Amino acid sequence: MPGAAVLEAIAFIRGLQASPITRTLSQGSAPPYGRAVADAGFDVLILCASEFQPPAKLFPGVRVIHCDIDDAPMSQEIWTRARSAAQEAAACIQRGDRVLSTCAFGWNRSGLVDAMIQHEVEGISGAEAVRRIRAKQPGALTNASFVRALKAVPAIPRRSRSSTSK
Amino acid sequence: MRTIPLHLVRHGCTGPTAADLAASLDAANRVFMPAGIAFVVRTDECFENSPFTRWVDAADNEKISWATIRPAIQRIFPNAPDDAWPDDETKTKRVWLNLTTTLWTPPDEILVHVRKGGARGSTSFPEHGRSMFFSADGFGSKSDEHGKGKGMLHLFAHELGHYLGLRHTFQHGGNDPKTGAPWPLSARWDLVYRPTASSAQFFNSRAEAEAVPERELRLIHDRSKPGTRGKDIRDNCGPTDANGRMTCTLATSRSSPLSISSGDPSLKGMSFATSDGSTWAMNAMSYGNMELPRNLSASQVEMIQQYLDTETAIIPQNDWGRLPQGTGRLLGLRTALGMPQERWPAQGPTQAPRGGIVGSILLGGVGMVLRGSAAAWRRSALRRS
Repeated sequence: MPGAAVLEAIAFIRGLQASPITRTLSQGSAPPYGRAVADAGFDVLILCASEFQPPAKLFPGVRVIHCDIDDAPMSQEIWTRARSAAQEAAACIQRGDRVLSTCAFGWNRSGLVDAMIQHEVEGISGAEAVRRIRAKQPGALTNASFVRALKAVPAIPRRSRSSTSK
Repeated sequence: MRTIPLHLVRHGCTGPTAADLAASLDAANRVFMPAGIAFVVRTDECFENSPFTRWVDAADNEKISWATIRPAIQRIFPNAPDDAWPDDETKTKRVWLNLTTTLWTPPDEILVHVRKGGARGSTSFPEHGRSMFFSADGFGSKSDEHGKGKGMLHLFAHELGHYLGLRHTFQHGGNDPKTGAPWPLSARWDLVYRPTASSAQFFNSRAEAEAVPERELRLIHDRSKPGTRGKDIRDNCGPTDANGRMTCTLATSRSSPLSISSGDPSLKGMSFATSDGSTWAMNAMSYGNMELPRNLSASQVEMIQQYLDTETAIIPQNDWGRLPQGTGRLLGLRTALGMPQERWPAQGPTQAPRGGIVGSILLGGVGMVLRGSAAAWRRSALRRS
């Protein structure tokens, strides 16, 4: 797994990589420092890679959610942390913010959180969220244990939307 | 107008909502407008994996080693040196956060820690440090969109007042940064009175108050605990009615006390007529209903100006223990708030960067050099932005 310095350099060279998943939610790799995230119209940046947690000052103009998780087999700790970040991001989306969820390469950890955000905002099932993300972000969600956990999340009936449960 | 950046660090990504935060920030900006101060949120970040979400439990008062707490501290303050303390140095979470915030917060900003629980607001005076702590329910109004707000609309302004040196209306303390001597009561000329044989004397300027012996001055607001039980509090100016109208009962030299109410010029520092004519604003540094409008008195604006103009030395707190090697004199750094770097006062070598991890890498074609440590790269990136 590349370290922070390598991710910083890659982000600097590649610039901002973000694939729109929904109108208000995008998924991408480690973002470059500076105003690129804010200038792209995002209000909230989620940093999901445990190895890439720069201070929020380096991303002026956006609110930063530090949700450091590892691309590892699913655990209660990973699930709880991702769910909490997703709930916060969902609240941001519901008040009109645009959210960018990132990890090292924009595949698994950002995908996990993105799927949970969609479940929170739209009530769709985890399986539907996985399908959507894979369609919009090729190569995403290859962590089998993440996908297994997400697929166990049922859709929320329209009348009784509440928090995600595993 | 001096614009002071705020850095919100939320320990746990819950609350306050954007609406609650905006309401409290707007309220604070209204309160501090007469002082020529505006606050803006420059940085807003939350940490899902924070050990500082709360420390109200007994377990959270346990002492934790630097080796254990260091990663969490360095996420907030990337320049915190690995060897700031020996690995086995222990302090409580509150002390670690208070101390490191004082040491490493950029001088031009106020760092506001927001926890899930704990006291709704607690703040360092300029001579005590640079930290502000809030619980997530310490923001917002009762009249939020859901009608179930926290009723803490002006708490943020109240705590910012403490950060800028103000004491409660019913308490006195601190030192005048210009003289280093304890503030005289005369500096709070619109919050004090002098009992006289016939009634009481009030003041319209600091010069007027200085003309009488300091020992004869009393704070108008007396909120004391005559008994030992917490609820047994005597407040000579409270409670206010629903419109903020208050009556203060003052001890005088004659046998019967003097009662003065909102609208009386003698209470000009405690109760303020609002533009709608039917409600009264309370002093921002009083307790009581935080939903009611709040104002600063003229003497409080003068005191804030002193703290913004003249630097205050920090008195290290007893529970801080040893400071990192090489720490110079600690300053409250209120003079640097909202100021460009060239106007920051020097306070000793406490901003040393962490050790470098990369040497010098040339990124071909882009013409940029990544040099020094990751921290230096981050700082340079920030400067470019």
